[in-house]
Parts: sequence; C-alpha cells; structure tokens
Amino acid sequence: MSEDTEAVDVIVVGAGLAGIACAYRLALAGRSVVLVERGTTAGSKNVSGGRLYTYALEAVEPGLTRAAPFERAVVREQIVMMDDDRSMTVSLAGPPAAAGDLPASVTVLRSRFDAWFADRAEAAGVMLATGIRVDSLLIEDGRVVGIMAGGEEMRAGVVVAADGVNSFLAREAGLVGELSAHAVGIGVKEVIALDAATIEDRFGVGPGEGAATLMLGCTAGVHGGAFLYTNSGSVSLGIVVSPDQMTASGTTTHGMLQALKAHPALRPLIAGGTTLEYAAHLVREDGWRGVPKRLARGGFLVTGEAAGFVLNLGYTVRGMDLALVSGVAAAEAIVAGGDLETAYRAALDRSGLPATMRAADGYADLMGIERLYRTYPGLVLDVVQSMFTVDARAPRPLRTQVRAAMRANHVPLRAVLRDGLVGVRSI
Amino acid sequence: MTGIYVFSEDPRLAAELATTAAALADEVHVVCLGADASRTLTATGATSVVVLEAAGAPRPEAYVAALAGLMRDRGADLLLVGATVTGWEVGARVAALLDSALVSEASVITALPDGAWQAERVMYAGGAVQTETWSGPGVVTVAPGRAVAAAVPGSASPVEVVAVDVDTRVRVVSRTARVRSGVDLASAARVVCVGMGLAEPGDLALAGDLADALDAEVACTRPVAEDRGLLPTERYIGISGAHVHPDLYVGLGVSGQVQHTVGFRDAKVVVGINTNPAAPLFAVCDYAVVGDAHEIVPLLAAAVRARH
Amino acid sequence: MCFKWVAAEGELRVDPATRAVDASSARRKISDYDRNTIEAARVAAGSIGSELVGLTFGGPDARTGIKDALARGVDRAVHVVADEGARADGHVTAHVLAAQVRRLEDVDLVLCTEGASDTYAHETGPRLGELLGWPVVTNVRELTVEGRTLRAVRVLGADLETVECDLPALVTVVPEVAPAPIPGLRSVLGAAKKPSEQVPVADLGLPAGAVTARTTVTSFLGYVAARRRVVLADGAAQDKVDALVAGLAQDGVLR
Ligand SMILES: Cc1cc2nc3c(=O)[nH]c(=O)nc-3n(C[C@H](O)[C@H](O)[C@H](O)COP(=O)(O)OP(=O)(O)OC[C@H]3O[C@@H](n4cnc5c(N)ncnc54)[C@H](O)[C@@H]3O)c2cc1C
Ligand SMILES: Cc1cc2nc3c(=O)[nH]c(=O)nc-3n(C[C@H](O)[C@H](O)[C@H](O)COP(=O)(O)OP(=O)(O)OC[C@H]3O[C@@H](n4cnc5c(N)ncnc54)[C@H](O)[C@@H]3O)c2cc1C
Ligand SMILES: Nc1ncnc2c1ncn2[C@@H]1O[C@H](COP(=O)(O)O)[C@@H](O)[C@H]1O
Repeated sequence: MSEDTEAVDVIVVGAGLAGIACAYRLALAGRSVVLVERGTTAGSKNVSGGRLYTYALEAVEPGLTRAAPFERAVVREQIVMMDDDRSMTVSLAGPPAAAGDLPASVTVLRSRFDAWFADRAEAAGVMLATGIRVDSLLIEDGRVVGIMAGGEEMRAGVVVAADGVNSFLAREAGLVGELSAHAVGIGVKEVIALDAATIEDRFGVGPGEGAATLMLGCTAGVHGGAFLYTNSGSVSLGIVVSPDQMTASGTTTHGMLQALKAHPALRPLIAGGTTLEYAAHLVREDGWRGVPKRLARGGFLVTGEAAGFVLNLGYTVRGMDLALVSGVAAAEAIVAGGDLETAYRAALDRSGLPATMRAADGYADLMGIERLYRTYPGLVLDVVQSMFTVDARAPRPLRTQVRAAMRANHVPLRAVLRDGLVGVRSI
Repeated sequence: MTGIYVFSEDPRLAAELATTAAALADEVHVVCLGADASRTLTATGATSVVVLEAAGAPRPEAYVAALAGLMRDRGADLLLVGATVTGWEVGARVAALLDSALVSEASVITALPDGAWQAERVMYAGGAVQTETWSGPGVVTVAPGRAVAAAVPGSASPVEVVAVDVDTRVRVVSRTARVRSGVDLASAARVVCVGMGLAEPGDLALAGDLADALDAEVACTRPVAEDRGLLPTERYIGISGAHVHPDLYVGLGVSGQVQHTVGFRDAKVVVGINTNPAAPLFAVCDYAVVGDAHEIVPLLAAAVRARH
Repeated sequence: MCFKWVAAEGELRVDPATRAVDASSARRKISDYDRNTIEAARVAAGSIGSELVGLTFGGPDARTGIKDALARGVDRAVHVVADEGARADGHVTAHVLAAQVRRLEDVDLVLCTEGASDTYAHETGPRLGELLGWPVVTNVRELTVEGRTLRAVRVLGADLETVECDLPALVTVVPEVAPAPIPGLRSVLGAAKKPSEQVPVADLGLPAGAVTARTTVTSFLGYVAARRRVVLADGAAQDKVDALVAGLAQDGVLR
C-alpha cells in the first residue's frame, strides 16, 4: 500500500445516491475521497421505487440528467383507489413537453443507475472500494479520525456517513439513537419484466415515456400505499407500509404484494410478466421530525437517509432527490471548512431541503388518519359506483348517496370533517 | 470416413467408448497403452486395437503427441476420450495439436448426414444444455457410465503395435491412494447426502443412522469431502463428483447449488431438509422440509424404522 | 494466471415454456474457482519473487473483473478484448491466451483453473500448454517451485500423484489449492493504482484460422426442474416428518 492512500481528505461510507453525490462533488473540488460500499457494486443493495426528480440531478451537476441512464421520463400520473375488488383511476397526462425540456421526473433502476453514477465519480477521481463493509468509526480525543473495516483502519480528515436508513455510523457517532418502530416503514418491491411495446401499450405512453401509478386502499387497512413505475423493459411494483400495524392486519407485506398483483385493476397491467427480482427495505417515515438535532461533530457528518432526509408521503416516497441534494450540501460544507455543523446547515438551507421537508411535515398527520387506507377508498368507490349505477329507479341526489355510503362504511360525518381539517392544515 | 478412434487409460472405460463409437461408425479403432490393456479390448468387436508402445512405463499423459500423430497419419475423423482427469488433459492437448474442435463430456453424439458431427453437453454446471456442431476432425470426451462396455463373444480384433516416442518432461515422483470406501454410489437405490449444514464431526452419526434406517448409502457435497475431509472424495455428488440415480435422495443441510444438484437429477424422488426456506435445493425437490436437520433427522429415522 | 469473467449461473433466467435462457440480468463474476487460482498464483509468484500477471480474454464488461482480480492480488492485468459478435470456443480461447502469453516476456509459469464455472470444460489449460509447447500438469492441489523445478500434487480420482517438471510450465489447479480470501479495504483501493492493459484481439496478429471457432452452437436450452415441490414448513417437526414419510411411502421409495 503506498503512502498516499494512508490518509485521505474524506471517507464517504455508502455508495447510495447521497454518498456518490457527495464523493463526486468533493472529487470535482480536488479533494482526495475514498467511497466505501459494502455491496459488490454500487446500487446492488439499494431499494427504491425508482422515481427520481431531476432537479436534484441538475443540482449535482448541470446536464447530468441528459447523461444519465434513466428508464423512462414520467409523462403520466395515475392515482388508483381500490378496495378488495373495485378500483377507480384518476389519470393525468400533462401537455406534451417541449422538445429539449428536461422531464421533471424519471424512473430509474438503482443497480444500473448507481453503477453508472459511481463510474462517473470514479472517473472524476473518487477512489471507490466496493465489497467492503465499514465496521466502526475511529474516534480519538472526541474527534472522528477514520474508519475500521475488516480489521483495517483508514484515516481521513472527515468521515461522511451516507449509509442509508438505520445508519449505525450516525448512532456510533452519537448523533441519533435507536430508531423506533414508528419511525420506519417497510417497503417491498418486485421488478417485473415486460417488453417495451407492451408497457407503452398498457400505460398509454410513447417510447421513452413512462407512467407513475400510486395506489391507495390495497394495504389491508395498514398505513401505506403502493406504487407502480414503468421502466424500459420492466415495471417496478411495490408497497410501503408501517410495520407496527402489520401484525394486527393478519397479513405480511409479501402477502399484500401478492394480493395486489392479483387485483383486477392491476392484473392486466402486469399480465405475462416474469418477476426479475424481489427486495425488501426499510424507509424512514418520520419526516423532518426524524432529522437529528445535530448533523455533524468533529470530523464527521451524516447525509442522505442516514440523516433522515426522506419524505414518506404514504402514497409516494421521496428519498433519492433529497439524498442527492443533501450529499451535495455535505460536500459543500466540507469544502467550505470551518465548523461543519454551521457550514452544513447553511448549505442545506441553500438547497431548499429543510424548507421542503418542513412544508411536508403535516403530511404525517394526514397520513396518520386510519380511514385513509381502507375506509375512504371504499367510501369513494361506493359513491362513484352508485353514480354509475343506472336502473329503473329515479336517481337519488348525490348528497343522499354520499350519506348512504358513509353509513355503509361506518364513517360519522364528524370524523370526516375532522380528517378534512387535518388534511387542509397539512397541505 | 476413416472411422472413430477411442482412447482411455482405463480399459473398462475404453470398452464403454467402443460401444458408443460402434453406434456412430462402422469402423472403430481402440487405442491403448501396453499389451495388458489390449487383451481385454480385443473382445470388444472393434475393427482394430492399436497398442502404443514405448520404453519404460510412461504415464498416459506422455503419449499425447503420439496419439495426435496417429490421428493425423490415419486421417481419423473423431477421437473419443474417456473423461477422467487424465482423459481431459489428453483430449484437450490432442485437440490443440490437431487444431481441432473439442466437446467436453458430451452426453449425446450424432453423426450428421453431411459428414459433420453434433454433440450435446451441459453448461453452467447443469443450468443449460448446449448443442454444438462441427465438421473436420474433432475430439469428444465422454464420462464413465454412459454406455455398457462392449463385449462381443468370440470376437478378436486384430492388434497392431506401434512404437512411439513419449514426452518425459513431467516426471512422476510418487503416487498414493487416498482413503477409499469402495462404495459405488452410482448403483445405490437410496442416498442420504450430507451438506455443510450438517458437517460438524458429531453430525455424521445422525446421517449414518438415517442411512441405516433407510438402507441408504451416505454421500456428501464437495466441501464436506474436499474442505472438511469428513468423508472420502468418492462419496461426493455433483458435476465434479459422482452421478447418482437412486429412487430416493435425501439432502441434509445441502444448499443445492447446481454444481451439486446436477449429480442427482435422475433421482426418482428428491427430499431436502434445510433451515433456510429459500435454499435453492428446494426448487429441485419433491419434498422440501424446512427445519433443523439436527431435529428432523432423528425423528425421520425413527419414523422410517417404525414402518418396518 | 488466467481468469475468466462469467455470468453467475444462479441468476440465469430460463423461460419454463421455451427453455430459452436470458443471461442479460445475471450478475457477472470471476469464475468461482479462478479466485482460488489467483490466490495460489499470488503465493507461487511470491515464493519465486516474480510479478503476477492476470490475464483474461473477454468482452468489454470484463473490466470490472480486472479490478477484482487486482484487488485479489494480481500485480498487473492484461485484458484481451474479445471481438463483438465473434464466438470463442476452447480453440480460439487457447490461441488468444497463448499469443498474449508469448507477448509477455520471461514467463515462468502459467496457472489456469481445472474448469470454469460456465463451461467446466477442463480444456483451456491443457490446450494452452500444448500451444506454448510447455509441459502440462493438471488438477493440482499442492504446488511448490524451487529454482527451475516445479513440484505438484495432482488429484487423480482417489489417488494423489506427485510430479515434477522444469519451468516454464502450465499448471491447472483445483480449488483446494488455496482458499480465496475476500479482499480487504487496502487491497481494493490498491487495485485502482495497479497497471492494467487492454489489448484488442486484432493486435495479437493471429491468423484467421486461430480466431475462428471450430464448433458452432446450434442450440442453448436452460434446465427446468420438473419436481413436485411439496413444502413442509409449518407445524411441529414430528408433523412434518409424518407427512414426509407418508408421501415417500405412497411414492414407493421406502424399502
Ligand atoms: C420500497 C421503497 C420505495 C422507494 N421509492 C422511492 C422513490 O420512488 N423515489 C425516491 O426518491 N425514493 C424512494 N425511496 C427512498 C429511497 O430509496 C431512499 O431514501 C434513498 O435510496 C436513500 O439514499 P441514500 O444514498 O441516503 O441511501 P441508500 O441508497 O440506502 O444507500 C446507502 C448505501 O450505504 C451502504 N452501506 C450501508 N452500511 C454500510 C457500511 N457499514 N459499510 C459500507 N457501506 C454501507 C449500503 O449498501 C447502500 O449502498 C424508496 C424506498 C423504498 C424502501
Ligand atoms: C466448477 C464448480 C464445480 C463444483 N462441483 C461440485 C460438485 O461436484 N459437488 C458439489 O457438491 N459441489 C460442487 N461445487 C460446489 C458447489 O457450488 C457448492 O458450493 C456446494 O455444493 C455447497 O455445498 P453445501 O450445500 O454442502 O454447503 P453450503 O452451500 O454451505 O450450504 C449449507 C446449507 O445448510 C443449511 N443449514 C445450515 N444449518 C442447518 C441445519 N442445522 N439444518 C438444516 N440445514 C442447515 C444452510 O441453510 C445451507 O443451505 C462446485 C463448484 C464449482 C464452481
Ligand atoms: N476467456 C478466458 N480468459 C482467461 N482465462 C480463461 C478463459 N477461458 C478459460 N480460461 C481459464 O481456463 C480455465 C478452464 O476453463 P475451461 O477449460 O473453459 O473449463 C478457467 O478457469 C480459466 O483459468
């Protein structure tokens, strides 16, 4: 081992989007950076639904979106409300984007996307070490001075924890405590192969274009929802739910996903597809409240989902964009020098991340409403179904129909009003 | 068409190859080393037996150039070689000297109408089957047990002795036998297979007891034999070990990598006992018992005995 | 030493109806036992104070494998980049590797593995040795070099055979020759600093006959197991055993 890797400016732990973005920006700024990832390749262990907002890629480096190997540009948004066998879909297709416009969001497959991103970071000078698991921090005189991995120690001026949800490095550094069960949801996801033409046909999109479908009412009453995103030659189907209610629901996340695949609304969309991979992963769902009071200490800072930077809005999860911009902010803080915490907070504020997360904070309350996950989808479906039911009888006024549906679903008007108030406040 | 040549340092395997060759061509020449081997091989009904003779007692690998020369001189179409460790080397080196095709461990060999050849072999240790064709000279290795040794009563093939030069650059210093149990797994009706999940020294007794109850042979996976040395190497099943075709295979703590499972594909009924419900073995099982072998095996042995 | 970059056999997808095999989503890896060979070669090279060159012939994606091989202890890597679309069989592979070995000067010893995890042909090593005109020693589980003499213990079925020969030589090894340790942080980082070279096949100046496959693949079909897969996962151990014995009795496989 030559002298020059004995100590480096920065060690970044975790080659997810936060870690790669941070390492990449540091390398571009001329710092020596080691990026350590336990998976055999960057992205091999990472689970995402796969919808990525491109503003964040542009924040890493203008023009990055164009260069990135994304799957499809999202041009169609769909929300599906379902109960056991009915469903109602709201589908929104925007006006066609002007040629040359960047799509606002794209779908990605992490194994491909992260590997590409890590390659790019390596080309910029990042020293990437895959297949290496960091076991602990090296702390001397109250300052983090390096890491230990497989019995080897490596020193650095700053260690960045970008090790994802449930970061044990942030815990070891004393910035966060144990995660509570309420703080995390569990996500399961399948990638199902379908050929491009079939996807374009079934989702009504053109070549290179994709759809993002979010589903409510398919989680056996448990907090959460499901997503279906189109990739080039596959679709990503997943469910994110709160584990603390799972036992009561009498089913498993795997069982929910299988039931969803058999649902009449979904079955035709995935018919004939073969499952390529199945993965399960945790995801933070405590929003801004889950972000630790301190994000840095001497020689150490935490970024990405390790720092709680993820928004689980029940029907959709935003973690990748926040990982990217927070990784950039971490790099900027290190380059700026001085007190890490101060520099990091300032860089984060410039990125707009804290404001975004605070604005969404009320969602947790909204998402806390039990009725959202079974009762309301059923209620809406009852109302709409009665609207479409035509027989010899005279149609009843809509108001009457809604009340009947509420009675049938055992929802008192008071509860609806209260939930509505929470909803309005939260947005 | 000048016929097929067959070679193996093991006369029994050479006789099997003669059977395979006879189904493919009218003319079959058996090449062997030394007069002893030629005596059994003249009774195979082969067109001729060619004895390569050299001074001293050279190792079989020393005859590679001589064998290639013979093939070239006689314009042989095809050389079948017994797929042993020695045969792999001899076959590949002859193919290199002839600049010819080689198909390793072919399961099916076909003579195509236009004089070309076709052979099937497994790839990815049994994950796939590949069919290859070639024309011109070729070498094919064939595993033992693919054919019944040719024995044509009353036949006496003409024997031709050819004096050859050998390659003595590799010198044998010594040869020792490893522990052998003399077991013939290939003919076992029931097999209890020990995997690394049941490979602590004390565990062997458990497997032995179940084998006793079932009247089965004890077999194992490669690491149990080669890494742990718990059982003799001729007891391991798989692509590089024994191929078995019992009525019943019971895998105890076997993960079920294809390199192993390919060895018992022809078993009538396959049982797996493994703690991991996602063990690949369960995908190729008739009965997948999810559980600790330490717990299941004694119960199973007792339940089987209770039926007697 | 020669190592091969192959698709992970456990990740091939087989269409149960057509048996068509899709390897596109399978991860790639250094052929399993080649990792043991790298370690054996590292030890052997160290014992005679030689540089260890890792040699691979494969498509552009073998680049990742090069990094892995360097991390595992190869001092320098040469990647002969296969022509897109051209198929390599044992004949082509051996000619390409032989040409590249000749281009390296002063080679004492070439190690291959007994068989690769995709082909498991036991072919490349001995073919290569023959093309180089060197003595060949196969299936080796112990290897020592003293001066210009190589001594090896071969595994021949149930026998062990000890042989000797002079260098240069070609040796194929079985995995038991050495364990394959997982490379640590420094080794992995150090890999990026080691030299590696990419050589297009065309640069080897081989005649067309040497790079034209002798065999043509006419079909490639995946294996589909036709087993019943009765899962006995729930309940007490005794219940599972009873269900199993009842099933086996019905199948008529108990004595
Ligand atoms: C089912 C599901 C669906 C989701 N859908 C979306 C979506 O559609 N859009 C979106 O934006 N977000 C989504 N998310 C959230 C998003 O995936 C994460 O928030 C995001 O990946 C976090 O990025 P990160 O870089 O912080 O961490 P990660 O991507 O988790 O990366 C952390 C990395 O650190 C490595 N690591 C961990 N510990 C160690 C160690 N000790 N040593 C070395 N390496 C280590 C890991 O292997 C990993 O590669 C989803 C999450 C789930 C679970
Ligand atoms: C080219 C090549 C050729 C090979 N040839 C062969 C060959 O011919 N034959 C061969 O066998 N292998 C061969 N292998 C090796 C093969 O790939 C596997 O590594 C090997 O078969 C695994 O052996 P195993 O199942 O015993 O061990 P492991 O893979 O370690 O599996 C142990 C299993 O035991 C289970 N287990 C653990 N504890 C318990 C318990 N208490 N009760 C029940 N289950 C438990 C575990 O869940 C696990 O599934 C070859 C490999 C290569 C690359
Ligand atoms: N394309 C290749 N590049 C480098 N080495 C190879 C290649 N193909 C085979 N080998 C070597 O030869 C061994 C045996 O391969 P095979 O004869 O195909 O089973 C492999 O394990 C490697 O050591």
